[in-house]
Amino acid sequence: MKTMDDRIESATVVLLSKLSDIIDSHLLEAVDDVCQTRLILNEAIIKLERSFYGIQDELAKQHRLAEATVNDAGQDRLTAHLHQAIIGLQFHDLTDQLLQRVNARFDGLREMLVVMDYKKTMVSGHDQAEDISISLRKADETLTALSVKLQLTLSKSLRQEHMGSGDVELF
Amino acid sequence: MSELSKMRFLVVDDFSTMRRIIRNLLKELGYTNVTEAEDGNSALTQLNRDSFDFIVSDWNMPGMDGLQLLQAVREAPSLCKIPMLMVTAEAKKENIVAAAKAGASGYIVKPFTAATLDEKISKILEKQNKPL
Repeated sequence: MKTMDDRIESATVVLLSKLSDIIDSHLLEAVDDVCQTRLILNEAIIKLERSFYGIQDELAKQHRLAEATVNDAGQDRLTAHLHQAIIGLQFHDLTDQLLQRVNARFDGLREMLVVMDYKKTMVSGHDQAEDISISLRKADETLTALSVKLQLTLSKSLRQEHMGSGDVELF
Repeated sequence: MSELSKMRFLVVDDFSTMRRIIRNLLKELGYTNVTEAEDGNSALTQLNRDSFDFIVSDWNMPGMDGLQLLQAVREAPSLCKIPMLMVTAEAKKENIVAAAKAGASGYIVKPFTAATLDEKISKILEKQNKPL
């Protein structure tokens, strides 16, 4: 039969192990989101750069042909570059949402650490090992519930495979 | 005034850049009568106050989000027939299915092109049997 000390030790190990796993998994998710943000930003910068250099080139050509009649082909190329720039601008919205998700996840982690800090105080104030064991198990349950709540709130959504048209064949 | 320019559009998005982009793309397609709302609540207020022919809405917005707005529109007898196109960053299949179940007329994932917007609007209007 386990002694009271053994039970306290067991509960503490379970709790600390769970805490470590929870923080690690959420930090991994945060790192993943930041990586995705970097990829999207990079895509946006490349598109904007290409578009604006294209606009610059077309304007230079138009300038050289200023005395010629209206150049439809040149106008079409200008429109195409502007459309690309518009697509690039939309990445601003996408990256903003991803960064908000990262912030929300960090807020959730801080909430969990506050629970741990509170429980630590509770444990240090107890005289009975049985009470400490119960307190630690409650902390474990609270942390699990907070982690599940955070994961449900921040379910993955921003995973565009095609950074071009935005078409989704469903309807 | 052309048939296109007579159509009244309501563009709902909390991001001003996106509202401006959609307004300009609609203008380019010939839809010049465009009103903007920054979230579902203000959109619903405008829908109950004025008359609109088409709604283009984001999904993630503070307060009332796009899905809630869609549900509110479909539940209101005076608004339920208005076509509603979801323009959103939510690319998950379950989000798209949820929008379809709630009665979305179409779905576009950001970033999108003017051609995709044109195609979706045209398809929706064809289904609604509205003359272009």
